[in-house]
Amino acid sequence: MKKYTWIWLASILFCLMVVSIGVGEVYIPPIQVVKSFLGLGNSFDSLIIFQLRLPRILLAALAGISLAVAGCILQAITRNPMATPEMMGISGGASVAAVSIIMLFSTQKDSLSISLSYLPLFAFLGATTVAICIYFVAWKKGVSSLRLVLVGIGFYILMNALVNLIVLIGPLFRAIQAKTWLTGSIYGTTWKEVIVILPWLIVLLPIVYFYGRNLTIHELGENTAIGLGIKVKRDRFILLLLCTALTGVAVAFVGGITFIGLIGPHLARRFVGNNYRLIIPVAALIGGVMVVGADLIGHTLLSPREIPAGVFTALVGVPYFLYLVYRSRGQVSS
Amino acid sequence: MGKIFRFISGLILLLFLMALSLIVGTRDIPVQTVVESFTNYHATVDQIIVLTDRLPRTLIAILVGASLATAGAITQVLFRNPLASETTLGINGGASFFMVIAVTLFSGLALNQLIWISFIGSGLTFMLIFAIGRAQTPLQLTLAGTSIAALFSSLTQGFLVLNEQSLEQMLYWLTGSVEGRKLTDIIPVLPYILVGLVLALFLARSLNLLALGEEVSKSLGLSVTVYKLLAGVSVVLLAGGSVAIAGPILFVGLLVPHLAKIWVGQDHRLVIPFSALLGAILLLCADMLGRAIMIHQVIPVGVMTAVLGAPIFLFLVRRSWGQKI
Repeated sequence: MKKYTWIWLASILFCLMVVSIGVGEVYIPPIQVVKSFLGLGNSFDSLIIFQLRLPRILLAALAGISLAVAGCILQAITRNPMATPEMMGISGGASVAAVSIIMLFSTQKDSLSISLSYLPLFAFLGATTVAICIYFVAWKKGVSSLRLVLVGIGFYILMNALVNLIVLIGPLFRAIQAKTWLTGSIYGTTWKEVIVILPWLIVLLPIVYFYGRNLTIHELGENTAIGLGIKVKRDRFILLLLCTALTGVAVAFVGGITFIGLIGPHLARRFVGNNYRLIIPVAALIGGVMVVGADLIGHTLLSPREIPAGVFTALVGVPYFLYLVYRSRGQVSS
Repeated sequence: MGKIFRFISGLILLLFLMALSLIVGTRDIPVQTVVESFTNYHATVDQIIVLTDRLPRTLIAILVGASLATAGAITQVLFRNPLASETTLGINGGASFFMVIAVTLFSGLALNQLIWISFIGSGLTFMLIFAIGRAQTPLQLTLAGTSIAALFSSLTQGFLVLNEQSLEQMLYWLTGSVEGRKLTDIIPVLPYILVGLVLALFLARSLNLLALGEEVSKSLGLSVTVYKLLAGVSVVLLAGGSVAIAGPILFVGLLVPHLAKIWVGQDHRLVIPFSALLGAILLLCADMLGRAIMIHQVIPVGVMTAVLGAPIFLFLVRRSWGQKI
């Protein structure tokens, strides 16, 4: 049964997307949405669906997928179930890079003066820089997973401060833009963003899946992994790059949507056990469901006002995280 | 004798920095003018700057630095955890979240009403983290606190996005700043902070016992619950009072007690006053640096402490805490 978990998750994601496409200032019933997908809907509905709503929903799903997969990788290589790209400052590094770009190159009218496709690249570079810094600072005759997480928290706070600094130095109209983006909002997405993010994921996700077996072995510990013939250091580096790339791409477009990288892998492990070949697709789909769901709540709850999706993912994520911490009382952390 | 000498030399340094803080800034003001603005007030531009901008921010920096550092020292004992502080436990974040909600919902609240909201926020967060984190390892407690802080900051930002008008005035304040306050703004906060500080000094001896562990303190005849409660009240007064006047300022409460312990050892009768002194000195320095580092632009002190504090935090993690925890 475990092998097929992803099928019902995929159907939940699909249904959620269909509902979410229908909801908005003009309500379109789910059946009409499906008809439009099949090319049978009327042209007005199709215009709304394909030009206005679909890109946004797709971006939400893609961002959720990449954040959840990034979380999977990080938890496996740090061997710490509480490590996430956000809390270790990796998302923060991407944010610093992206905010700098927004501040430097944005025009009065909410648009960027350089090509949008540079944004994920810079975010990726920012995330990678922070990840490498964390690794070096935590390195002391090997990297203990405990020190890694603490150093990560230090960088998390530092990156937050840098983002605030950049936002404060820039002019005010950009500050509002940047703040909205930072909380994690996918308001006003067009096909442009989707087209930029999609190739990254098409390349990255199969590679991660291919590495899935290695992830399972990494989680068993360094010595076991070496014993099983894995080049641990090289592997870890590649996996870390994959993680920063996925984080960077997601953060570049949706900003600080938090706790997906934590909850996705955890729930997935509950469903399918410890094999990363199974965990990765399931976690990815859970991530997609969460972000699409958060976005749906965000734009219906106080409609026509938009509440950034990041608020809801944090509202779900933090209690869950605290529950995890609470449950592990008294255990010695590895 | 040595310790008293150290304290006095610290005080002299603090006084010197206070004087310096009145002089430097986007516009340097000669010493003579500074002195004249107290003795011979003529309402010239420079004198107005000294009395309405420099003096309040200097006093607030001292007050807030001292209270945050003291609160941090107490928290570290209460949780028996070297990484505990208002920052890492999310108490600052909780207080500022409540403040933002209060300010957006009921506009026109005065500071002496806001301070109670700040107390409620920091008190609730403190109780929440206390319930979760008593038996936790330092790492888990830190993770829990940081995630609570992350939740509050995300909620706060969500709130601000809904309410763009208030963003402009809040943005500065959210990162922690001692700027733009009047001398009269200190008055409603002052009594609470003073009570908190005196309470902390009064508790210092029992903190020494509490640091040995609950069992030991009980067997030595300390009524643990009462003293823990009093210590909690002191933390809430100090942290809540600081957030009410200056917003969330990071890292002071985490780092300063460690510096104080390096300087004077583990006895809390010394650690508390030295933490307060060092906290005041450090925050004053951070604020001056924030004023001096860029021309025409003042960097809020909250950003400065985070930027300066994070490397020290990382250094300490590498050096000593790496083995201890």
